Amino acid sequence: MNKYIYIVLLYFIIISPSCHKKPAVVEPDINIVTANILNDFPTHIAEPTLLDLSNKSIELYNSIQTFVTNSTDANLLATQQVWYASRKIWEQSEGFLFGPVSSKGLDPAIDDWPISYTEIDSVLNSSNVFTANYIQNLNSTLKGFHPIEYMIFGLGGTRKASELTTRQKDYLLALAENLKTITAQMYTEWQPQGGNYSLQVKTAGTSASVYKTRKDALLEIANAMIGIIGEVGEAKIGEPYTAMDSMLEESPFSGNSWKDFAMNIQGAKNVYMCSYSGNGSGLHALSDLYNKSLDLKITQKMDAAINNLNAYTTKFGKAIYTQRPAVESTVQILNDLKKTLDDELIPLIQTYVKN
Amino acid sequence: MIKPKTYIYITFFLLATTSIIYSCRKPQTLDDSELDERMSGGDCTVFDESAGAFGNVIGGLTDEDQRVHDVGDGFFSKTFVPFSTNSPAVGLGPLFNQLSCARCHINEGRGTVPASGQPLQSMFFKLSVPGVDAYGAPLPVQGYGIQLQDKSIAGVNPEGTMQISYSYLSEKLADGTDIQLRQPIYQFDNLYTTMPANVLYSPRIARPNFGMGLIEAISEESILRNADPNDANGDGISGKVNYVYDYITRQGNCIGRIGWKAAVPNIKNQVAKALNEDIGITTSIFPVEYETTQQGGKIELPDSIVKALTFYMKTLAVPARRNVKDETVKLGQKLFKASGCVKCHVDKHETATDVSFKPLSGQIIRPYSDFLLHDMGPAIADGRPEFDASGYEWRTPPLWGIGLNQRVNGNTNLLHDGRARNYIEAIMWHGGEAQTAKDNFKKLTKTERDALVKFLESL
Repeated sequence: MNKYIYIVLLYFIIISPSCHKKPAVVEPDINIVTANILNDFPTHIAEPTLLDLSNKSIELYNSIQTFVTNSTDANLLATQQVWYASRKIWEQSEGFLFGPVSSKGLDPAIDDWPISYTEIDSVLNSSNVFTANYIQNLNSTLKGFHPIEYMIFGLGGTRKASELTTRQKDYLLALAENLKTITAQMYTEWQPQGGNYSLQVKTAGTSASVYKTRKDALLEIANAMIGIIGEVGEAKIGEPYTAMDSMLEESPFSGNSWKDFAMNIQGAKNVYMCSYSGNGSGLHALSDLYNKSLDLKITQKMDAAINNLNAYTTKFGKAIYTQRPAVESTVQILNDLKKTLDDELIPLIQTYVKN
Repeated sequence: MIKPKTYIYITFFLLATTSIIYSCRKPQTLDDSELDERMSGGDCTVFDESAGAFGNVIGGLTDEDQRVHDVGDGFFSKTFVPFSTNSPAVGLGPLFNQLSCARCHINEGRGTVPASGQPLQSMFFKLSVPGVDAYGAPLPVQGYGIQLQDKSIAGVNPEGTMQISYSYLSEKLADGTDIQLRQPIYQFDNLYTTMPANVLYSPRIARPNFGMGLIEAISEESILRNADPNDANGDGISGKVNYVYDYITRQGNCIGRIGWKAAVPNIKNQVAKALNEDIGITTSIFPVEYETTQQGGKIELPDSIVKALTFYMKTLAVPARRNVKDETVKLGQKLFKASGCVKCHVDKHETATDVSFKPLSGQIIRPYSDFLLHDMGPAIADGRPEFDASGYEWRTPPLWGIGLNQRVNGNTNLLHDGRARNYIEAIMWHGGEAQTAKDNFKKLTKTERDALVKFLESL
């Protein structure tokens, strides 16, 4: 009988560790990683980017004011340079189009497209006074970055200071003031004295946040980042390319479209790496933890997309006719990046972040 | 020496214990019934809890279908402009409520109530005078048409605006908890011409777009099964079909499924109406705009784009439920049923078999609506009939996705005019046929109420 007992005991000794034993590797503390990402995103990305945007809008307003007072070509050129600089920040901020900018409809008031030429003419031909309230109530196709672009660069980007009438300059100044107001609001929406959306992100997973779990907030950040990459490939480049219609270009007057697109992807990379104003812990930290090859793939593809967009020397509106294979390749690069994020980064978050 | 029979016993014993031990290593999985609970849209369900949760495409599309969906998606977001601007989206206005579909259906979700003194952005007011037209639809108001268009292209005066303010009232629950409710007060403002004294108006917040293909695909039998217009079963709840006019087939007596009063029979009618009335875009279905000088004198959006927009809306997936295993959620679900909410917010439907478009065919879906009209009492009556819907009646709104409203749209405002700021306020506004369900809710303890709310948040 003892033999039977020995056999049974021996069996349990052999198999019991396989049931309950945990893997020998040390589990990383996922809670610390996710808390860091959510704490750093507002601090290192959202707030500094939106503060820069607000400050650049003030700078643009001041520059336009100088130009209106002293309408020289040099002052117009200076205004154009500030517009480019503002645009650089705005396009990066599109890497995180969620929260108040989306739910409060602030995006269209800043960056609607196409502009409505006939309505701009109608506004200019009217006797309406360009008060802040008047501009505030204008349709979004009559205000924001692109009408300002249209006014300071002109069709074909050949604007001369002397071409602008007093009425046009008044409108221009009022538009810049409105942009200043809205971008300031965007920043305030993330601040404690305003909407405090930073707190919503930082406290994700608690009852104080709209995000019931940290996973929800991380997916929000990731999906917003993926969203702008998709928009650049499928809409901003894809639609004019497919339609072979340069009038569908978003920033045709300044010829700034390729840089706009590159800054959009840079904005997505900022979010992924949590790198804008200093470095923090971004989504990169998650993939680095669980799938280093994926992390490498994402960063390489982001860099490749940015380099590809920056390499164009022909303006976008011309390249869609004369460099079609290259533009198609760019769309592929962007679609491929999006697919990697959709198919691999999102499942990684869903798999490893439990709450 | 061990007997052979003993070896057999030992082997059997070891196999049995092995299976028990190894069973402890199995991953935790949902059983079938729980999995079904998550799949609100059947196979057309998407697991996305982000702000983009309402904007996902259903699976199973061909490449060509996907392309049409993408074209529709593009136009849904596209800003319309007047003629003389080079854009594929021209013909805006001259009178309108918004510049694009996406401006009202924010992230393909609900609209919002404007803050005090702010203009309407994703909400509008339907208008009519008493009586019906040749199709049984409400009579348009002379000079205003069927809807107050509070925006216009430059150089044209908008029809007017509506100011919204609130008075407050309270309702006590059985345990003494005081619920503050806000009652909207509407005031026409800046009207471009006289508004007739007998005008009827009805506020409407933009509704979410996802799942509409499934709603359209529910068989007529499935909807009629829940109808009880004369309350033959005596449960105090009637459930009435709104028989409406289809402006595409030019036929009346069609089952209305879409909109706050189920006044629209299908997605394509909805798309064409919204283009015409909300954005001022003419199509072959509605080639004339009310009370305006037609810009360009032609159809502004071709049938192919109307078709793409329709297909886009038809193929938006339903977000999956969350936390279905949570015990509090389960309790809330039981209370939702026990309180009688499911009598109108019917949890389950089956879509009809459609061999021509399989993704939506034969799906078990959980919209939590019967898509029928119910008298909801005087407190939220709009007093404006629409086809067979009286001024007291509203279509039971589907509740799927309701738990994601805050995430997607930044608010939890509910009901046709957004007066309810949360679930409990929305329940407190229920009356008429829903009075009993509301009274049952009022008797719940705080723990039970919290559970019911948690269930709603899981939808």
